[in-house]
Amino acid sequence: MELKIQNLTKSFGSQIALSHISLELTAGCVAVLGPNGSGKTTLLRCLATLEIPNSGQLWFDGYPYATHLQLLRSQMGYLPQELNLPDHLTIRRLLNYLAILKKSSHSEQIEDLIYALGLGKVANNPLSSLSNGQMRLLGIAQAFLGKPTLLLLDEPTRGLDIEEKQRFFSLLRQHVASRLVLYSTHDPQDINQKADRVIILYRGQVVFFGEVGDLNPSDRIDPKSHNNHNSCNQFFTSVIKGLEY
Amino acid sequence: MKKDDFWLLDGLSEEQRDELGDLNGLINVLESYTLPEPQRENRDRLLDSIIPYLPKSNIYRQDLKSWLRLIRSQWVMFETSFWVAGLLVLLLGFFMSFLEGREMLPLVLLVLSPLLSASGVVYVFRPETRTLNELEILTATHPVELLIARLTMVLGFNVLIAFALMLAIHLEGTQIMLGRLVLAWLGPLLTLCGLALYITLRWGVLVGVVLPLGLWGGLVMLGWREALLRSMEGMNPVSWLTLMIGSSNTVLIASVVTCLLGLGLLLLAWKTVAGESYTWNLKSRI
Repeated sequence: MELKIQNLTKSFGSQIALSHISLELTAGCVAVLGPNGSGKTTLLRCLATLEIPNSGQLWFDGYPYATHLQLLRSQMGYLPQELNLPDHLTIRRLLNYLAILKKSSHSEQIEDLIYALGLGKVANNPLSSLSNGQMRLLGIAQAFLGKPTLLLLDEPTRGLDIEEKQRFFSLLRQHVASRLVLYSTHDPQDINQKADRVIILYRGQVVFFGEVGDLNPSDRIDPKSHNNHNSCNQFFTSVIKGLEY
Repeated sequence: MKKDDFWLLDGLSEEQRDELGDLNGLINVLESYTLPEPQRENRDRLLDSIIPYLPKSNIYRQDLKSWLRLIRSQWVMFETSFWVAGLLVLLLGFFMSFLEGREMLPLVLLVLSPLLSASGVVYVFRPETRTLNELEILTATHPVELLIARLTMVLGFNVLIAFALMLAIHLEGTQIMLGRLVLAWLGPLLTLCGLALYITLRWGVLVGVVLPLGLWGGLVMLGWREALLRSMEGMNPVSWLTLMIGSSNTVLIASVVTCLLGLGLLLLAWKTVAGESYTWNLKSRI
């Protein structure tokens, strides 16, 4: 299983969000780290086929996105950064609905996910009554539905308390085998011991890609735009400090 | 590099390895050889020649059972207010049939049915379903299947209401041929739905609401104005409009044309949804 990104570029008007990203990712857990506006969300949305790149090629499991869009979409699980869902739904109804769209029966998996994420008590409550953390956990649950082989999670730990974070990472550990999981985060603590590899994005460019243990300042790839050096260095150092913490 | 370490010999027995002899020269050539990066034109040409031979995934459900399951699943998308609005129109119609102005019932049906259906279509794409729509895209269900299921739900409900009102009109003893009356409301209903759907998909919900409903409002006003002008000639405007629905060939032809126009617009909306993946393919190939 391999996700291949070749020369991916995405811009919104004159603003370049991603610039010539090329990566090859195999099964495992990959954290995408970067400050605000570094292109984490755009990268995940492009990989989830929700944004059309300006240029570049993408393959997953040997299938090009350009020719097998629907097939690849059916193998993906995605957690968007913002979850704005109809208030009248309940957790159980939403998960049942999405399970039907995934064209297979997953009633047992739905209950497992609800239990694993500690959502049992609120599973039949309307979404309007859920806390931010519970909404995030619901987003995580729907992404895991149908056992997707490519999981794209945009800031899954945002708004979660320590206990909820533990539940999420425990679920992740159970499901990561033979899958590729990419999750974005602001917090270096989230990648420590949880991710096999880390991608560090800075202003739309990959400044580091490798194993977490290999992170040290000399490995940093210089971004092409040279006027960012100081701030990029600062961010990179803060990541490493965060990991050491 | 020793040939024993080389992956080309993986799985071969000692005998087979000996038969192949010294491969170090070949290994060196292979190691040093790098393929040149293909040009964009070459890549496009290759993709274009391969695509027709690739197995086409069957995006549409085959059996009726799974279609029904998908349509039924759409129930969760609709809040109580959607069903209540439809039922209120139905109740209004039945209520009117007991009043003095019951001759207005066909006109109420004609004016409200398209309005209710177009609102229902736009309601399905309301902003709070935007995230859900993104999640729906990333499933094994094709967006066109979803569109069909939702339209079946909205149009099915509204057509049922319209037929229930037709029953009331029939029981009240109308002089209008029911076939003509069906065409008179079905044409605008399909056109307004198709227009609302197409516009919503292309330019968003706000334009999708304002334009079709504004257009329908304008047409209703023009029709009423014409009827009022007739009243100056001593004819009751409601009776004149009812007469036109029941006997005018112009109204009949216009009804058939709007039916066809509506179906055309729905087809256009269908193609817009189906074309989304085509656009992705074209752009992502660059």
